[in-house]
Amino acid sequence: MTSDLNTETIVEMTQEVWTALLADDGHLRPGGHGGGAMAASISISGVWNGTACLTCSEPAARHAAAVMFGMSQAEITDEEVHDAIGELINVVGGNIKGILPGPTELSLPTVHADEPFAVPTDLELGWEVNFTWLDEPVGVTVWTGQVDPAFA
Amino acid sequence: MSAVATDFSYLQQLVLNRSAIVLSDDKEYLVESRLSPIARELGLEGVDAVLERLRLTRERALEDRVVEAMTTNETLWFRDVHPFNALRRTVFPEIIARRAPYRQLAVWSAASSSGQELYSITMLLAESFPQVMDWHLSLHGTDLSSEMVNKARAGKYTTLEINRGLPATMMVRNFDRDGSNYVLKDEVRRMTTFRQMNLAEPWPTLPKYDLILIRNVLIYFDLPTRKKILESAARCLDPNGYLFIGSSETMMGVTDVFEAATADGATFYRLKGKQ
Amino acid sequence: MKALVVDDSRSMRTIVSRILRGVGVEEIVQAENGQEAIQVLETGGIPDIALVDWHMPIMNGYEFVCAARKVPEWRPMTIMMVTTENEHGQIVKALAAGATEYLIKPFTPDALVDKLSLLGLNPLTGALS
Repeated sequence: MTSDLNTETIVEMTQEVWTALLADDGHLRPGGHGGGAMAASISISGVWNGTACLTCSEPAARHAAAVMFGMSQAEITDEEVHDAIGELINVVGGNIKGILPGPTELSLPTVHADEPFAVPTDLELGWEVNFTWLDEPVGVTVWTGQVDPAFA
Repeated sequence: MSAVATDFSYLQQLVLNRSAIVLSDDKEYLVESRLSPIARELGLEGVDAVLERLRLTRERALEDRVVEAMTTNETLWFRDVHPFNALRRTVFPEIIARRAPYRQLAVWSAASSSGQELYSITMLLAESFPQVMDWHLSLHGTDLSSEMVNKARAGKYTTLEINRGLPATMMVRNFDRDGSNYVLKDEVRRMTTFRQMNLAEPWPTLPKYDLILIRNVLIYFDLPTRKKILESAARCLDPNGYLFIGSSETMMGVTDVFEAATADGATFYRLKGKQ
Repeated sequence: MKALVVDDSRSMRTIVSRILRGVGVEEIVQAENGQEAIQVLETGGIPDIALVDWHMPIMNGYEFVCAARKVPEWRPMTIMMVTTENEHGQIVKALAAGATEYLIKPFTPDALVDKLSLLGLNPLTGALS
């Protein structure tokens, strides 16, 4: 029952978020190496369990925060950068949750600022989509855990 | 970006007055890309020069071009709100009372794009006039682009599209989720028919419609073509029918077969001397 | 017109507030969660509209709608949920609890303005009719 979630849907949804919140006009393109120093994750629990994670480089995160806060990159604080990528994964994760079997609950986002995102040991990598945004890496990964047997 | 802030507020005001569409502040980035082609075509130096000329001359045709360029791709549900208030409160109650003995009703959305206008009307009828649901309803949409016709037939929309002006109660009642998209329920989709049609070419035989909407499309045609389109529309409009054009569009200087009426904040047209 | 923007994300509060200012809303108050929003209502008077996220710590947006609708003096306030929560059942639940409108994240600035027009916002004066 997770058949509706696939790489193409993740690409579309992430691009929609970029268009809406970052006024991005087609610059977020699938492909690239992924990675980056910044990460934010959100977990989904219920009949489907897992975690969605957004990673990106520090310049990408700073640029996103500058657009969202309507300020220049020089004025943006670290706290604002964290808030911005937390909200981005919140919206991406919420949309991923929407196409998974429900009911499920969405957690609040966690921003992994000092430590890199450590994958919980009970989760497996389900999907990994890398993007390039204005020459900077952006990535979305979805880690899956236990699925209620009724939906497996 | 060469357009300075004061130019943008001027543009916001112009677009609002002419089309009832609000250009939010963060649309300023669109000015350059949308208006430079007009500048090039007119042989003007740039976007600033276009706005300067607008301010000085108030040329209606140039205003039309600029407003259209700034609002293009605005396909949304219940676009402009007021026309739909007029349909709900004034136009449909009158049509339905008159049509009750025949139990039939015909509507044509003549620039149906991806379907939002015709589906808005269909949902409005289902919600506010449930008594007509078992009438013979002809709900027709046509568009120049067969790609748009196919999209309209599919009735499938992204979150960004579904968010544009569709009341939440109507969304939950009429749409199902399909992956990350929203799809109109079959019973709504089945009530409508979409076909490809070029308004500028000779028209096929059409039924007499009680309501015709030719909104935000006349701008693309020259004056003689606009006249031809509106006069053809007059011939397939029921003598007691209603015609809506875009909120920023005018009949003035185009044709005099219609006369304007207003209700509920909207302007619409009826055949002259027929009421 | 006065608006209350309730979201735990400061970037989202900033985006929503910027759009509201763009259509002439003069007074905008922000709150980080439902409980803070209730305090604003108790002490600062009621806004014409509250734009409320769903998933927030301490008191979420749904709980806020339920709590706010229990107070008769606050009934005139329009409540629009602005949230990534997009399950049909949840949307119905929020509307049934008294939310007036619902906007799903992600939304473009136009989409928020369209919803405000649906609710009768006059973009020239920033007033709800």
